[in-house]
Order: sequence, then C-alpha cells, then structure tokens
Amino acid sequence: MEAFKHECEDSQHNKCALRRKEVRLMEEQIRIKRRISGHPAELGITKMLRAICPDIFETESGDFVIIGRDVTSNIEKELPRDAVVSKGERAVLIPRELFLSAVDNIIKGKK
Amino acid sequence: MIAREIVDKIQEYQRKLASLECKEINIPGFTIYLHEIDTRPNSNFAIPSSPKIPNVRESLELLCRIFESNKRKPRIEFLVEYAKSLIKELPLNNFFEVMRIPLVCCLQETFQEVKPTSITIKKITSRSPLTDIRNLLMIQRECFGYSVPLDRESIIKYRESLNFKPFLAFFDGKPAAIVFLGPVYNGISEIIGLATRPSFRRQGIATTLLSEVLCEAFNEGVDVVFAGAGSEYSFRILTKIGSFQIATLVGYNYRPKILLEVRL
Repeated sequence: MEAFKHECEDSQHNKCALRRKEVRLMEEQIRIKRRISGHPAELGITKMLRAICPDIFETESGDFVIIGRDVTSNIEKELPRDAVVSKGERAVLIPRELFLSAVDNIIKGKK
Repeated sequence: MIAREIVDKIQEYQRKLASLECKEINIPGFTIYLHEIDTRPNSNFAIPSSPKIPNVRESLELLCRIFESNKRKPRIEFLVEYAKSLIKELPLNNFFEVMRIPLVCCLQETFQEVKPTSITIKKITSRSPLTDIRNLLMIQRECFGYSVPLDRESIIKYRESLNFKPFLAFFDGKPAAIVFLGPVYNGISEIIGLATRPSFRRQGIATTLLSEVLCEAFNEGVDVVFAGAGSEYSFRILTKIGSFQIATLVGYNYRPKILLEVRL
C-alpha cells in the first residue's frame, strides 16, 4: 500500500514536472520572425529616439506578439459578456494606425 | 522648484525645440509646428498655447484645416499635467491618443552619482572623425531599428546637422552605448536616445554614461534635465541616478468620423 502511495506521488510529481517542462517549452518556442507593423517611429506614432513601442510582431509559428498599453483595468466593464481577460492575460491598446499598417502589410503580401 | 513649475518649463522647452526645426503658425489656443521636408505625424504637430483653451472645437477645426492645407495629418502633442482638460475634450473632437511616454526629470539637488563602470566617453561634435559618427549611428540602428543611411555623404551631412550633443561610450575599447543631450534653454535640457548595445547590457555602462553627462550638464549651470522613459530599462537607469517621474507626454492624431464609419 505504502509502495503504491509512493508510486502515485511519483506519478503526480512526474506529471507536474512534465507540465512545467511543457510550459517552459511553450515559452521557449516563441521566436520573433519579423515586425509585421511598420516601425512605430517611422510611422510617426512615437517620437524619434524617445520610445520604440507599441509594436506588432509575427512569430515563427505564425502567431502575433503585440506590445501595447495595458488597459486591462479600464476595459473590464466594457467587454461583452462572452469575453474575459483570463489570469495571465492582459488587454492592450494599440493605435489604429499601427494595426492598419500591419493589416496593409499582410494584405499586400509585403511581409 | 515645484512640480507645476517644472511641467511648465518642460512644455515651454518643447515649444522651443519644435521651433528650431519647424515653421511656426499661431492660431487661437495652439501653436502649429510644420516641418519643411518631413511629412510624418511625429515631425508635424501642434502644442496648446495655454492650459485651458476657450472654444476648443473651433480651434481644432481651424487646426485641422491648416494641417490639411499643408498636406500634413493633424496631430497634437502636450504634457497631460500641463493641459489636463484637453484629455477629455480631444476624443469628443475625433482626436485619439496614439503616444504616451512617461517623462522623468533630474534636478541638481536630486542627482545621485553612481559607482562608475570603467568606460571612456567621447563627446561627439561637428569635428569628430567619421568613424565615431558611424559607430554612433550603428548603435542607434542596432537599438532603435533605424538611423540615417550609413554612406559617407549621409554621415557627413548628419554630423553637420547635430542639434543634440551625442556622447559615445567605449567599454574595453569597443563602442558600447550612446546618449544625446539637448540644447539648453532657460536652464533646462533633455536627454534622448539612451541606448546600450545588447551584448554590453547589465554592466552599468549606460548608468555611468548618463551620470557623467548629467554631471557635466549640472556643472554647466543646467537646473533640470528631463527624459522620456519609454521603456522599463531606461526608467530604471534614470531613477537610479536621482530622476523622478514628473509628467506624461501624449500624442493625439486626428481621425475623421467618416473614415471611422467607413472602415467599421
């Protein structure tokens, strides 16, 4: 019985370790492939040599990484009922110009 | 010096700086700064002339007409703490926030010298060798993603057009970091473009460079040095040497209602 308990604990421990490893792997797998929006300073959104965000990047896996202003606390009451900012997520605001430049780049097949 | 006084001084500094590079047009409530060549929104903007603007709507309509007749996109930049009421009024007139940069400032009395890292600092002038200018631009390109082109002619032109004083830091004989100090106006100056090449970070190079530059500015009689803390990295370094948050610089672009409706 004692041996079985140990086995279960070991199995649980292994599962946790595996999960941690998976999470770490997922984090490690995020590789930026390219900037998909225009450069924020070149687009005229931010001041030259003073700030280099917001930004939109495409990852190697085809997903997007977005750098924007954290508006989670401002937006919670505005969200529709079927939308939620989960634990570990943040709602970010990016300028329309930046997003449209990314859309334009995707549509035109430039990037 | 009280915070409100510093905010007013920084706002006045930004007007002065804009006037060095742009044509000025005064209208009720705003001064418009239009760049002769550069059409990008961040080089063409208006600054409110006073904290409270009477007839905001009329002023903004006139502002838009002037920008558009000059083939520029309407944009307004100011310190939130200078004209708080504008924050509520601009979205009602189809101006939307696109930029928000926290500004920190350092005074002679708050400045803290740091334990220095062993670096050599070169002050770049219009007589500096082209290799130094090239190194400066290479770091800028590596850290900010853009710089003027790196051909000989462009580098010479850039050297002759310097409004801000660049400082180049060498670590182990290699170019490692840069920072620019703005022109001094009314006892105030601005730090921009602080950057350390990624392979030289976390060794105290930027902190030492910044500390030396501020020390020199204060010795020359500057009272206030301010900077945009656009990243956690620069915010950390700036506060380490005695800077504190003083204001927020915001930029608002105009989006015509018709454009929003069509696109939606």
